[in-house]
Amino acid sequence: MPLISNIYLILLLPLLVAFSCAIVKNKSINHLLIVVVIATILVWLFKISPIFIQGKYVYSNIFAVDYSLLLNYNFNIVGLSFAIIILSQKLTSLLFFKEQIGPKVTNNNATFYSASLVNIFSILLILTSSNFVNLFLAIEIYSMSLMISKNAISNKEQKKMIISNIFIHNVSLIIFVCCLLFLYISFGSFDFNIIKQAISGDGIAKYSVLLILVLLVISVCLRFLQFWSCFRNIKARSAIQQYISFQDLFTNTIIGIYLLIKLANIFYIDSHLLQDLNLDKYLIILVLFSSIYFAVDSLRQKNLRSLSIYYCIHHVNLILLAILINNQSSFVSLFYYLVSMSLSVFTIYLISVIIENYIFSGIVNLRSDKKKGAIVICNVITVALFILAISPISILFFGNFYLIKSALLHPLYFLIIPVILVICISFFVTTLNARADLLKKILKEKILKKILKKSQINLSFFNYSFYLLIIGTLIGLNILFIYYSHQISGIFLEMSKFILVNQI
Amino acid sequence: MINKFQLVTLIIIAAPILNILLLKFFKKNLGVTTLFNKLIPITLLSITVMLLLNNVASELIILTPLDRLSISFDLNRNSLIFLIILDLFWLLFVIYLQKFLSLSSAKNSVYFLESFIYIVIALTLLAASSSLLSILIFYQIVTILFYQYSNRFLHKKDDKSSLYFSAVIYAESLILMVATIYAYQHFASLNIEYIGEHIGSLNKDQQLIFMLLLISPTLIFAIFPFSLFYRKINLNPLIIFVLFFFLFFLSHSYLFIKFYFEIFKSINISNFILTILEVIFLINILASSTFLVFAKGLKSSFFYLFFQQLILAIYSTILLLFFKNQFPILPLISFAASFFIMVFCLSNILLFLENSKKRKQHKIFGDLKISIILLLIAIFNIASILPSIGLQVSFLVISKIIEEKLVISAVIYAISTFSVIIFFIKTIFPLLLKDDEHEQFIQDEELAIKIDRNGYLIMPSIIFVLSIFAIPIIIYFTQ
Repeated sequence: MPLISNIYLILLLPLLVAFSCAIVKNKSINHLLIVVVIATILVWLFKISPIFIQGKYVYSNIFAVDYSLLLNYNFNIVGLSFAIIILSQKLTSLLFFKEQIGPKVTNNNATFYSASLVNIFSILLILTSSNFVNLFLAIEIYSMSLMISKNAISNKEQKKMIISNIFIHNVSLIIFVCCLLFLYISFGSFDFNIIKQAISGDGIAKYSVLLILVLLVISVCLRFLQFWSCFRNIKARSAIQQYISFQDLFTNTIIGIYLLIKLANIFYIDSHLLQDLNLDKYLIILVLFSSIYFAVDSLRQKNLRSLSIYYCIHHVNLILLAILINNQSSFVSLFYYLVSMSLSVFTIYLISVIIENYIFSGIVNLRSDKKKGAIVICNVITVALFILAISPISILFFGNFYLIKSALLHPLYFLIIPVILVICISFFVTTLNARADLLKKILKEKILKKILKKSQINLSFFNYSFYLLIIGTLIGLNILFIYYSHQISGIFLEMSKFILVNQI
Repeated sequence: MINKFQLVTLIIIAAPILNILLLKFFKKNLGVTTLFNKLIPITLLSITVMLLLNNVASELIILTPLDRLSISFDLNRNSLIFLIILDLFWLLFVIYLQKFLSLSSAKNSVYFLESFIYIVIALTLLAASSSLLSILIFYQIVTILFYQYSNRFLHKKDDKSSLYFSAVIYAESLILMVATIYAYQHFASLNIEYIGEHIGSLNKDQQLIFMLLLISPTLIFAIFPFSLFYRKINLNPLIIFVLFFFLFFLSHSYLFIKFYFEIFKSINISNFILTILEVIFLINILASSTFLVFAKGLKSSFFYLFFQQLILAIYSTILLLFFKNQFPILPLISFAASFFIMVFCLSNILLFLENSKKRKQHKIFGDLKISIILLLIAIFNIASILPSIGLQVSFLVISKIIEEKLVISAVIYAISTFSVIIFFIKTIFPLLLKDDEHEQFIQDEELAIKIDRNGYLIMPSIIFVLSIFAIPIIIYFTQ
């Protein structure tokens, strides 16, 4: 069976290479190994994706026990697309920030790289797990590996932050364990398929299922969608800290969204049990309030990197709406939002690194041509953000298009459409606000000198042009997306059909 | 393959872009730039007039991102008329601007012209677009352009208000997006002609919702007191002309007229909605009139006059459309013409005041006779004292008001007329007095002759003065 063996290779390759990374203590070799592993997995994923696009999925229960442990996977198109998004982001950031992300202490190299590889392994496990015990173990491995890799490269101040994070993670894990207990009591199994079938049948107490769902959502949000800690971490100046905070924000949010979709798929989408309670009315009002709150809150923020958190929050709000509306075109919009979010957040990250490292170091000499270059970069930022978030034909537009299309058929359209409008206006205002602030910073040299003392790395012109190239490719990707949107919408439609019919 | 008419459409769309490219390419060669700056609008004007006379066109589809959802262009009768007006304004503005900038010795003159032509590009694309999706896209581009230029020209220190203003305009475009998707769901097509043919398939409530969504840009623009945002800005009449008049008034009024005549012509609106509109416009007119009465100085009072007259013109148009009048667009034309004259005369006067030695005095009738007389004609046209288009408009509107006994509308008209009279007494009348106390400077006299007897600076406004008197006569004879 070539397909099954491929999947085994994808799952186990990072784990195997992690052992070799632990032995080799050379930084450049380790870096090369991790890049090669991620690239290989990506190639494999692309290679097997045509089979999955048609709606097939591979489900394997190796140890046929109901509380079976590892390698009990369900491989399908949704998990595959999420894996592609996360891994491609990791690959690009590893490629372009080679100098920044490595640890300074040479002994920690092996720890850092092998922990990151285990982290990738755990991400793949989360995306392919087919029962709750599996998921629990995967999340545990994920948290541990992330903590170890952070610990290897951070300084004293950051270690305090990591300890406070560990506390929150433990709380979420305890809630998860409670959920496992409840699940076993009420369903007699941890398997997603069995639970889903049990919920769609009769004889299950409504409110106990609701309690389990609420607890699971709380646990996922505590662990993966903790934006409040991002606001604190993201203002760090050094490149390593930037890398960590960005990984925290991006990977956690994507996995959190995946788990929310998964929970919705098991408990909400196909079953009339919870839909009879008419909870969507209150949830949509909640989303409306949260979007208005964060839109108003984002008016005060001018920092580019905190802008990326607001982008994440707004996109998560939109995705929640798409799940709550719960029909085919709303799920198409969900995938568009996912792509839009990952592209825009990643662009902001790149831009912020460029600004920290190139512009602010360039103006020490106070040469006018460098200042001009800074203003050019500012315009590039505006163009990139404009194309990603504001422009009429962007990936975001397609998401809005499908969401509004499904909302117009929904009885609560008068609550849903304002959410979209508020969020879009917030994108517009915050983006222009951040740009204006950036221009001011560039024009005032005094502030620049202060920032300059704190930043450590001086990049060459080669890197600067490389960054521009990345932004160019991002913009090109956006344009390609629009040009082939017909076909891409077709794929997304298949995926949304898959979510509505099957267990993911 | 592209056919003949599609090629012509493409040329009309691409000509302003070509102008920008040439402007960048021949930056240092002044003679060449002045030549094609006038040549391109003249050719465009002639092409559009020819097309209007022949009345043939076919659709040009650029991109189809989703099923039956395309970015496409088409030149029908309405868009051709709009393009002719646009090109006329463009030509006259370029003629005026060239001389004006050389006299005022401005530094960023090329930039000003460039930004103006960018606006022309956006408006041309907006006028030529035939599907709701392309209208949406170019409307959003208008928004972004407005933010860029208002930030550049109006505000030097504080850019908050223009950001919020642009956010409101962006919200308008988002409502337009909702309307587009609504149309896509009900008609399965975004072509405006197709929607106009099949609008009867919706029921009455749906028609009303669709209309409110589509016309919302103009309604919000008229209802929202935008002038309050701009209280600490650089009130240069030329910049106000380019930003507010050109970018906003033209795009909004064009969309309003296009949607009304091509989609909703057969729909009847209830009296209740008219009453609501009356009350909203009354509040808005009251606010702008108060600001007009208490404004200090020529520049700021002119700014509030612009907003007050704009609201009044939109209101009169809606009133005439409601009662199915034959010439519903006349108020807008009257407003555009008189505003055009006022801008150019005022910028002449301000140019003189800035460069002469009599800086702080306003008794300059002896120096700039022609400009001030033209300005007076424009103001009298607004107050409908002269036998011009303004009188015809107020005749049409007031007769309807008396016929239908619309009390609130009568109050709106009374307030606006009253505030215009106060404006005249307060700010325009001092200009007319003769200055006997101070001696005349020779340099000032020379400068006055340079400005007032210059064909480039006076001719554009004279053309519009003639049109003010000519349009009623043309209408009389064609009837």
